[in-house]
Amino acid sequence: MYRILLSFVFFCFLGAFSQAHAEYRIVSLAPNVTEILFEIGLGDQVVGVTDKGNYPAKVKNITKIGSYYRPSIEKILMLEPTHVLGMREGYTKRLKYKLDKLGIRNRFFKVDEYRDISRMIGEIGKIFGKSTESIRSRIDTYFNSGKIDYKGDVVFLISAKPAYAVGGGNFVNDILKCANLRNALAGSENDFPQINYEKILQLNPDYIILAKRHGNSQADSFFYEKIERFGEETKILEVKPDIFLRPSYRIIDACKTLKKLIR
Amino acid sequence: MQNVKKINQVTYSKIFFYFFICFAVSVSILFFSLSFGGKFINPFEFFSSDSAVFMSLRLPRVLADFMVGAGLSIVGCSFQTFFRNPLADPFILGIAGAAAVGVAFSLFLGVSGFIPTQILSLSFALVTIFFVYWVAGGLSSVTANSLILVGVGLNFFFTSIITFFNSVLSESFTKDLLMWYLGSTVFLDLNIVFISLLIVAVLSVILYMQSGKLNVYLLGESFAVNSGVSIKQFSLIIYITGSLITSVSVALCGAIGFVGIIIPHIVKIIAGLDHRLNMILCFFAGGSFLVIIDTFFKTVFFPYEVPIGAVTAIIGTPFFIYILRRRI
Repeated sequence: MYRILLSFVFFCFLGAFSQAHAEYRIVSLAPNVTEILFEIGLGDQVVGVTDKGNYPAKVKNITKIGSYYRPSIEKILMLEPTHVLGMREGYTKRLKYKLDKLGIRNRFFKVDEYRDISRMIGEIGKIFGKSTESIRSRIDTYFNSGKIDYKGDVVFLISAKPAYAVGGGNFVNDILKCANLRNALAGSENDFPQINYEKILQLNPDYIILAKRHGNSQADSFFYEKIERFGEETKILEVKPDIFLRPSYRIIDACKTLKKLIR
Repeated sequence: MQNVKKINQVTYSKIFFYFFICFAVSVSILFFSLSFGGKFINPFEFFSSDSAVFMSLRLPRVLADFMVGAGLSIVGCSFQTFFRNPLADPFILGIAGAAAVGVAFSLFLGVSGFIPTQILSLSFALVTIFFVYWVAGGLSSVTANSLILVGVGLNFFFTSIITFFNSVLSESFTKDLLMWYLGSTVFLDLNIVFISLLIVAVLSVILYMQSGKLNVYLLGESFAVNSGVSIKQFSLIIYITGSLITSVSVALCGAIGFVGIIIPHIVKIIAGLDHRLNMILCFFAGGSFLVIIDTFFKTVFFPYEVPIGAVTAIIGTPFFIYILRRRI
């Protein structure tokens, strides 16, 4: 009886130990998911990322599984992942279909507003048994404060040529709100509508924010050429697209950056 | 008359000989291309080493490459003669445009899943086939010219719809559609590929059965009529089978351009104008061409997936210009 009890206790300990040190092999198909995985302490278990991943710096050393829009399924399979995580956009319908057929556990997240980011972080934490309460409460502190003291109207361009702006109902719109700015295109039916420069002129915003992509100087010069026709009241702000356009916990940094810029 | 001489020189034994040579070469290309990708798989270990990579990824992809290349090439070959236009390709009748509009609608309506998108795309293409035929005069008065005019007109119409969608809708929609347009054979299942390859093969045989008539038609419509060719029936078969092959290819793998133009031209330069021979060569050469191109680029750029539609155009464009220069 004593031996049986001892064996039971031993196996209980063994089970608890293996649960705590469960080895995952995670392939991240989106840079924002990679950021979240590192933030919740799963960075060393990420075995594959797409070429867009650049944060944190350690990501550069992780095996690449192809481009964001066309990851290589063969490469994913070769990495023998336990989980594949990505965002529900672009090619993901086809990709998910194929991953399901191959029997690879996968999860694709859909994010619209900042609440979805918080929910996504929670779900990722739940999948891998990690606590995400502190990150989620940090997001809530910034984005759910309740009071908004508007400092001006803004048009946020995610691309200058063709001009695509930030509409309502998405997390970038929430970043603008968090920084006390009113999105002039919040009423748009699309999340990221195409817009012409005449419309921007009509809206006459206090700020135009351009998410300046690296190596897109032709589009930027085109943007400035058009924007020069605006009155001096409109201020042009340039921001790095990574923290503003990736739905991760770094939207907090985006909010802080924007607040600093308009101050 | 020179054409007649060239055509008469081709005997049935020569056709059978080329068929078996082409078949053997194509099967060899298919077989060896299965070894290449992320890592080299020894042909003798296909089923034993990494069966998931082999059965779920490489085999369906290579067969899909062959199906699209072979189908579009044989259609391009017959369409160029039927429309008497060296620039005619399988997409000239608006099929690719219609399939693209189907995909655009599925994205717009938020249809979930990969298969429903393909079904919607195929449905649009099939409806367009019959619409073009009906507008071009139907069974009573359809001609190659009326078909091509209606097809080109509809192509503009579909392109405008896509452009309109792209302008009005969001950035992600544009990206999704662009990804589809660039073409891919990555995501197909083995059973879907087998069924579609079988459909394309059967339709290609039906198309090939018109090869003799295409030879006669090449010498002039009145010559064909005097030789006993029923132009209406012949037009109907060429148009419907060619369009069906195109529809299947486009709905499953996107608009993979140029293979339907360049391969028939290469084959005609090398093998001459006899359709009994060059349609066979087009089928196998087109299929093998796409298999080789896709295998080469997926291996060299691994793990980056190069869109096959873009690659065929990169290789196709210089050759296309060369052909045009020769004709001028």
